[in-house]
Amino acid sequence: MKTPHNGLQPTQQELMEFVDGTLPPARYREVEQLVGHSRRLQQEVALFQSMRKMVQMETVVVPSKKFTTHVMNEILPLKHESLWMRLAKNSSNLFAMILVLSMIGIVMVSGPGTTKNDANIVTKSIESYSTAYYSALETISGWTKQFTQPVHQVTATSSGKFFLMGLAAFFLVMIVDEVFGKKFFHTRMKH
Amino acid sequence: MKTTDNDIIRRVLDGDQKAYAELVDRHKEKAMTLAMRMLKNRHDAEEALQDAFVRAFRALPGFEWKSSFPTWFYRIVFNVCSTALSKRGEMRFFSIDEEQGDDVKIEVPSDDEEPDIAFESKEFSAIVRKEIETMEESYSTILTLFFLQDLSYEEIVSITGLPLGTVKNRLFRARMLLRTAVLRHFSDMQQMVNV
Repeated sequence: MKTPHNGLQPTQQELMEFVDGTLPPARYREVEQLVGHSRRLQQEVALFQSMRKMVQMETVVVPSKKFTTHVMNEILPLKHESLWMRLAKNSSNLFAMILVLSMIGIVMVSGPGTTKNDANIVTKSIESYSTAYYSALETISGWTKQFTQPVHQVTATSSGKFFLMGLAAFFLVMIVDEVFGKKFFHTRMKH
Repeated sequence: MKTTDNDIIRRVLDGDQKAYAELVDRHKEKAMTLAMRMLKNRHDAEEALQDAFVRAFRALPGFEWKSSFPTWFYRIVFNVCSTALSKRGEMRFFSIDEEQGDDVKIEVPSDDEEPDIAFESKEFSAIVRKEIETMEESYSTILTLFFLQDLSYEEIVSITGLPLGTVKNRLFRARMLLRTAVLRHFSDMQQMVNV
């Protein structure tokens, strides 16, 4: 068998590398000359060139039209949703958090030694308790007193009140977080 | 001046996350082709590609600026598709039942009469497309990375983790499969014309 590096017949591998332009320069020139004098080699080279071109040009698979949108929705899920959609999606979490927040408020307002003025201060400071809500608290407070005796012991002290107010603030932030984009407790990307 | 991939990546890392859509648009077609060549199923390929883009976004802070975005990203696409193939129990990519040598040399037969081939015809393009679609994924993947993505042997090695000899060998075999399919088709056509 003739060896390929003697300026004789190139192998298929060499013809492919000739087409790719990855053949060593010396051998490239030899193969170029051989191809120039052989119709069969010319056809072989043309076949590999066409195959290369076809693979490059004709076989591209295009994803669906909304592909980019789908990817971006995965990446930025909350930025594309309306406030109402976010509220609806997080309604169960919101409900639970508001319930906890209300309970804290009730306990603070109805604790022993708590006057109506104290309750009003709390109401004003949170700014989310309306007059109607306050009267509802008063109605329920009698009922809650008997169930919340241990908590009242905590609220009787000022440090206990601070603790509960801190807890209330925490849940408030959680609500904001749920609705406005996972800003505080979730990080999407670290730079 | 044309915005480079690296410019877009910098914008994304600076907080302009929507700029990532530009990267997706730039690379989705070639990456989809790679996913399709590996998974042979449009739905699976699109799902895998979406997953790959999301993973790439999350991994962007760790982007190696030395390599190009496509090479880095194709590695993610390749890994996601490999995992999908493993789940299907179809992972043949790392099978070793083939020659590992990088010195594949087959002499061109000197006496075979090659048929006249219309290289630019739709027929030719259809045969190539069909052959790639039905080709084993270990071959069509290398073929796609080499031709479509225009990657070097070394880049393909870094993406697939295969030895250089295996990459060259698979590329050679893939092209021989295409060649055989084209020649067979046009020989049959010529025989039909002669009869």
